[in-house]
Amino acid sequence: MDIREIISRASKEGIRHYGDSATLKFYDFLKERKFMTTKCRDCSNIDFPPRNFCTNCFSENIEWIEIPKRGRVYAFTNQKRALRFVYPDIIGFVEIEGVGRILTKLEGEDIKIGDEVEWDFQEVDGLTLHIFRKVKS
Amino acid sequence: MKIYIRGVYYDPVVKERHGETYKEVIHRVFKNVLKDAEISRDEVDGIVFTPPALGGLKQHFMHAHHMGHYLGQDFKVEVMVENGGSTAALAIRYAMLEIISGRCKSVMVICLDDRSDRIPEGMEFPHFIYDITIAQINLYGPFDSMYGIGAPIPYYAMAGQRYMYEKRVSREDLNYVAVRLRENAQNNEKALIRELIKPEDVTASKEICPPLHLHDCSIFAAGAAGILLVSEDFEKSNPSKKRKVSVKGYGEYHTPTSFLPNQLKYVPYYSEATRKASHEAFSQAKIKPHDVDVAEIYGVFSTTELTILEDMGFFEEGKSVYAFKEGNVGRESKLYVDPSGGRIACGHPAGATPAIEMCEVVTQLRGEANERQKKGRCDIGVVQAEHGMLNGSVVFVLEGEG
Repeated sequence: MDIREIISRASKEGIRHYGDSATLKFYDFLKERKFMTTKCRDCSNIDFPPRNFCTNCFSENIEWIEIPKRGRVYAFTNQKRALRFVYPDIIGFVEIEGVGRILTKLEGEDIKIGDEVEWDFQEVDGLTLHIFRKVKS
Repeated sequence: MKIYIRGVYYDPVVKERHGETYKEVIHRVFKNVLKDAEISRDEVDGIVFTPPALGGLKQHFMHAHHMGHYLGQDFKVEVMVENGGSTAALAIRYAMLEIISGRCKSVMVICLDDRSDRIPEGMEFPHFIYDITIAQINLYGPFDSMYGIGAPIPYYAMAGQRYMYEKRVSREDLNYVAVRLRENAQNNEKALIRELIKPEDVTASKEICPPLHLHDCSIFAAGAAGILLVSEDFEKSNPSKKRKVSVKGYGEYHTPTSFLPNQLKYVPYYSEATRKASHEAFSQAKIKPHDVDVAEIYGVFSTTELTILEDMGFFEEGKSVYAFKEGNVGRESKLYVDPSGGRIACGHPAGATPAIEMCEVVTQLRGEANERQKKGRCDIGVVQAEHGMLNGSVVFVLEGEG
């Protein structure tokens, strides 16, 4: 079996075992090219990563919302030994107002702290992942 | 109730262990701690272990049980403790609680870590890739790990980048962290990396995860350490000939974050857990940061070395780098930071690191550190450990008496 297929199978098993039903739903939404997380209907708190309950008030009255399209680069780096992406593998945390900081793959030239970026999708190892591209000024 | 640290021992930190199995290492550490404590094995009531390796693909189910059997000794306590980088610190805390509860008068803590990043002998590469992918999802979670996180360094690199950006810490000044820690390691024959370097050597070393270069990082290592804690009654009835060292304060705090916090309310490059654990430990000990003579901290990267010292209140935000630049962290300084060489120079066998830190601080407080002994007053020491990326933190305040 080829290595990418092994990583794909292990990833799916890892998501199932170390996640919960909200994690599986998050990846199902990504497959439909929707980038979603959970919001509490009682206290309006937004959690990322998504959960089936609110970490603020512990209510289970939650809904799924789309994550705002744009955010700003909080910090970034690159990995030279990562398995999933081809070098240069630039990853970073994007700050999205009202939601949180999200680890993602960054694409674009000359990325800097504070750059405006917007989400898109990329198929990797049998999964659909979110990535963020630099917004051209 | 006072708790004394009666015996300490740590192995030289090595890149990889050869010739001994982990059971043999534990037996040897057990004997060496008894020797340092000047007591017999029968006087040890309980034993607390860390796993033989943090992570890795080999099982260590019922490790404490197997080690009790191997050592051939009865114990009133026999347990293994684990929570990432804080593991050894929490094992020591477990031993303290057994003494505080009155069940035990003396408890040994044995901590070790072997390199766990190797493909086990006989395992096919595809099998290894499957297992290591699953292990990474366990450690970094089912969201972040999909971006290829295979080690914690990208998180530390990004937090460090933001810290340097916001506090205006220059790359040139950051180089002095590794320079000074290697100077401290010069007189520690147990340190892994003792070659002196110049500031420019740091940025000339391989870039691992920008802004961090190889010399900014602790590297994979193997090591082992043991600590014997005893009650006040034990110490009174069987006094040590060495300077007595007691635990004067303890603090511990955990925030609901994992590695770089997702929640906007946290400042990722600082650690609320470290601030609260330090405050609790210092308050219990009735001391202020300026009372501390020697500190061993869990600074596994150069940027974290700086932020932890600031979180603990030793320096103002963004200013700790100047203590390294000006050489104010050595044996002649008011605060001696990481006399062992710290994680960057002494080495970082994570499962044993907090115990190695405690051994070093006890050695300093006893006045037994020879060429690396702190000059002048050396009465109060602190040990700090953390797990994740400072999502949880543990702080001990130790006092040399008399």
